[in-house]
Amino acid sequence: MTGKSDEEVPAMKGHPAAFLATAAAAAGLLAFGMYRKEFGETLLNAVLICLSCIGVG
Amino acid sequence: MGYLKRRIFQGIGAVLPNAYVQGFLSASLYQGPLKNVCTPLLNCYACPSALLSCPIGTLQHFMAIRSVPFYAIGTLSVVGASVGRMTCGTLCPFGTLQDLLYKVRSWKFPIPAWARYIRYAALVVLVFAVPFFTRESWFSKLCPVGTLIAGVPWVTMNVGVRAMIGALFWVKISILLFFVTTSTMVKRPFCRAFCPLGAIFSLFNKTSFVQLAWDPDTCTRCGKCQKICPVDIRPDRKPTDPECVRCLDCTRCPSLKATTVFHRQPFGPMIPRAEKTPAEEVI
Repeated sequence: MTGKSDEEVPAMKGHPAAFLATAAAAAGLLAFGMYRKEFGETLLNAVLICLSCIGVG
Repeated sequence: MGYLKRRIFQGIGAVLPNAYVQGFLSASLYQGPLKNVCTPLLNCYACPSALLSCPIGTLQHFMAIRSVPFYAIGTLSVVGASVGRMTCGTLCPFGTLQDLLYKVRSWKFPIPAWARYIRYAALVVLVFAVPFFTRESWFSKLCPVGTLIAGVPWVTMNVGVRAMIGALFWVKISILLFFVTTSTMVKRPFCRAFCPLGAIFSLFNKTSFVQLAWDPDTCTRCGKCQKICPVDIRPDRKPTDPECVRCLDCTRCPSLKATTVFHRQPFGPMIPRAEKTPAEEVI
């Protein structure tokens, strides 16, 4: 026990710049997918019963 | 995160995405607008009570129709960039089941380090490549989560589905039984060696907003963090380990804490280190 303050705890390996780039790319992908109305295809696929998931088709 | 708190979160993760109870009563599927949304959990959309879409099923479907799944990848990337694999550790119902099964008294074994690469192979081969070429969802055909929460209920409830049972169903039951059995002996075997969703999220552990911080000055290298870790890693050696499911169980030790990529505490007020108890007394 050293009694150090939290601010002195060593920084972990996460890099803010890498996080910001990843987050921006992720938001871009999601936005483009929504622009292409892919959620409609997602819905169509999900409302039909998946026989592969059940194991009979 | 405390043990009870995580169990509460895991309970929510099991109940909320499967809240359409009417599906079991009327042997039907929910067909409302929530199925637009990919859940960040491995939760089968063929489950009668499922409210949301399975992300892995969605990825396979887009591969089968030969289209790039920007929406599904974007959803998973946003979650991954925010919390890394935290949904695996705190919400996933199949992860919860494996956590509970490991509490059963039996022989306990470690898993070989190379096993982690199988899940990347499962992602590339069974989720992307094979569905693209065969136009069939091959991961779904083997997925034990689908067997547990969709296969078994549908076969029990519906005579028509029961009449369709063939070899594939028994293969799926065998895979489920394999993972149920090994979960009593190995910590989270499915998550660590086979789950393609975990493979996707693990790519974000290094750069996600939520991070683990480790203080070498207070760490005594006692290894108790590994004992309580649900995926059997040493967070003090590599806090950004892709294996880490960010359950935050290890933050019960004063040398580990949840932080952010900007080095700020994401949850609750900061506790001065001097007020914390040594790991040996806590764990």
